[in-house]
Amino acid sequence: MQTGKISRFSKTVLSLGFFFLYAPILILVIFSFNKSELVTVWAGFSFKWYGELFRDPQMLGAAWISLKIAFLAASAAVVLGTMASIVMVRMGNFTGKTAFTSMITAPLVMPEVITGLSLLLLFVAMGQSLGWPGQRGMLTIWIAHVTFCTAFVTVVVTSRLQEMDESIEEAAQDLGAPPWKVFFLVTLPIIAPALMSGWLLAFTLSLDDLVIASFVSGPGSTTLPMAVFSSVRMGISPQINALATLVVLVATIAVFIAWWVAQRSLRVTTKVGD
Amino acid sequence: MSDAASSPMLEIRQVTKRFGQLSAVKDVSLTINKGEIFALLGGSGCGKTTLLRMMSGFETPSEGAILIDGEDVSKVPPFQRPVNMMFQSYALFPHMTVEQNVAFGLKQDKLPKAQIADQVAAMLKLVHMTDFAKRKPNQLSGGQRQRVALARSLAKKPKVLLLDEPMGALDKKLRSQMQLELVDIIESVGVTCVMVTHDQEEAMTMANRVSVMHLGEIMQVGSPSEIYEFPNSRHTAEFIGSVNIFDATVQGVGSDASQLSCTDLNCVLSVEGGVNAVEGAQVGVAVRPEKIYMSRTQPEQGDNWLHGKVEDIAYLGGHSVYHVKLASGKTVMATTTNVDRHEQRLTWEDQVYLYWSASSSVVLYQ
Repeated sequence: MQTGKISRFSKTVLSLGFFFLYAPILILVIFSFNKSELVTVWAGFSFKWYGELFRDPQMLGAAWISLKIAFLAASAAVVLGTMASIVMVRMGNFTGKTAFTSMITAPLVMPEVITGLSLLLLFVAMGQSLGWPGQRGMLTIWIAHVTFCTAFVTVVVTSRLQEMDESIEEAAQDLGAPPWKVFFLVTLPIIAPALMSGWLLAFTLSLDDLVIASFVSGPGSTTLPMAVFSSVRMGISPQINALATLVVLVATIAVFIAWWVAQRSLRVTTKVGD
Repeated sequence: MSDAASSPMLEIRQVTKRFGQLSAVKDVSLTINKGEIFALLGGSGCGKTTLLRMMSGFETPSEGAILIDGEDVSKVPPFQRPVNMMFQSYALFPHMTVEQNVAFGLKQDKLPKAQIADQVAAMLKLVHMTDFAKRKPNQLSGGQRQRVALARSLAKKPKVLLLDEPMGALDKKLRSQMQLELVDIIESVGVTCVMVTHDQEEAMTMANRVSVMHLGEIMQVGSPSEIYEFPNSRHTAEFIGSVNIFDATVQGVGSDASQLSCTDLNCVLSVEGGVNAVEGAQVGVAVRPEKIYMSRTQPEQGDNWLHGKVEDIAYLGGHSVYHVKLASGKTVMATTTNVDRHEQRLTWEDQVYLYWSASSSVVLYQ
């Protein structure tokens, strides 16, 4: 490409691409402010459906359950993912390292249907033989979400750990800090931005998951995506548009925070290295 | 400082380090005295860094022992050794200020707050970084980071200070300035110091004693001038500075002078003093380029002169290096100092005589 100027062809392709990606979302946002009962007919601006949404106990209950699961799953995934990353990056070569590495990231490429189904079978088998978990519900959804969220967190934290200069940790040891203290005083603060973005990523993934949750959920544990999906099957109501708009807003804010944190930490650490 | 009165601070006793099949350090013994600045010099892969990491505790010797101040520390983990290291990348903690970086080691010793603050202030003053106490490492220049790293590794008053390629991350101009400054600071504190470097100039500028390492073994230990003027092997002679080495056979051994017949040059060379070899033994004769004189006329001395043609000249400002090709095909290097600006210097294709005194050459046995 010539410097400075973007050719007309590139501009067209770019706008078409953006249109394709964002026009549907834009239409959804616009129609969430529609006064009409009909989703596709514009009848004037109104916050009516937002009000309606906040008076719908079923939707609010599902949203609350989803947020709780997402929060707990992301937190557990960050702890497990960080531990896995440290084993992979800092513990040197051990027997079965390749197997461990590929198994921990396998859920990234595993079809969700298979993950969901296999977990369901596991829970049923465990329930029959061990008596636990007795009933499927929030707990089983949480366990299922932790398994695939851990894989994502591991990838994020591993790349950060690999970038980090190992001699910083050695310097801390050299100055008298035993290994566990080195981790909490030096390693953890330095990789904290990666933990933060890993957490946010896990949070959004868990909030968004429909397939796996559908397999392992039980009575009384309907998550938000499940509630939306079942209500859409009876016809799209403008209320769903309002809900979706809120979800888009939350997701955008989360992504922005993650990006900002990553940028800031990149500035701090890259300058030290040069 | 290596006088007889000084006592050993660090002792390496027959240390060997193996990584699988490979021996990185082979049966190394060294004694480093209190208050000495000692340099481990060698090319990459010579084992100098492994040896340093064994002193700091990040590697444990496969065989042998390391003693600090008379105490065997071979099995002591790095965080309990009375040794601090300045890392090549400086390894400053990016999330802490300069002050917090220097205080880190003192906090691990659980010293009272006031004492830590005093020591940090003293250290920052020592390295002239008091004004930067509240800065983060990424707001400092390379030279400033090095000062902070030095202050941090000196703060705990270690018995031995280890420097890993101390100038590795600095540009050339800053290097020569920091070398002298670093030595000043280390000597004012009086700490025993071991440094690792691949740069012979750096080792010779900074250290009281230098040990040349090659393939995991120590080739020679001595003061910079001993190592330069009296190398004990071809490797040391070639590694430190540049040198001309002629293969020769011992012909006559005397107490004042010995004769060696040189196969390369088809002539006889004489060296001062006796030779530690029987007649007929194969040795090398080393002559440094700056000890060779050049002239257009035949020198008056009877031996130690050669005749050739100037093949190449490297003009380096302060001095020039001449590459003279002899009739036998061998090229000999000789340097001259460019004292006079308008001097009629030797030029390409000139016929020249090269000569040196019998006391300038060194006989190499290995």
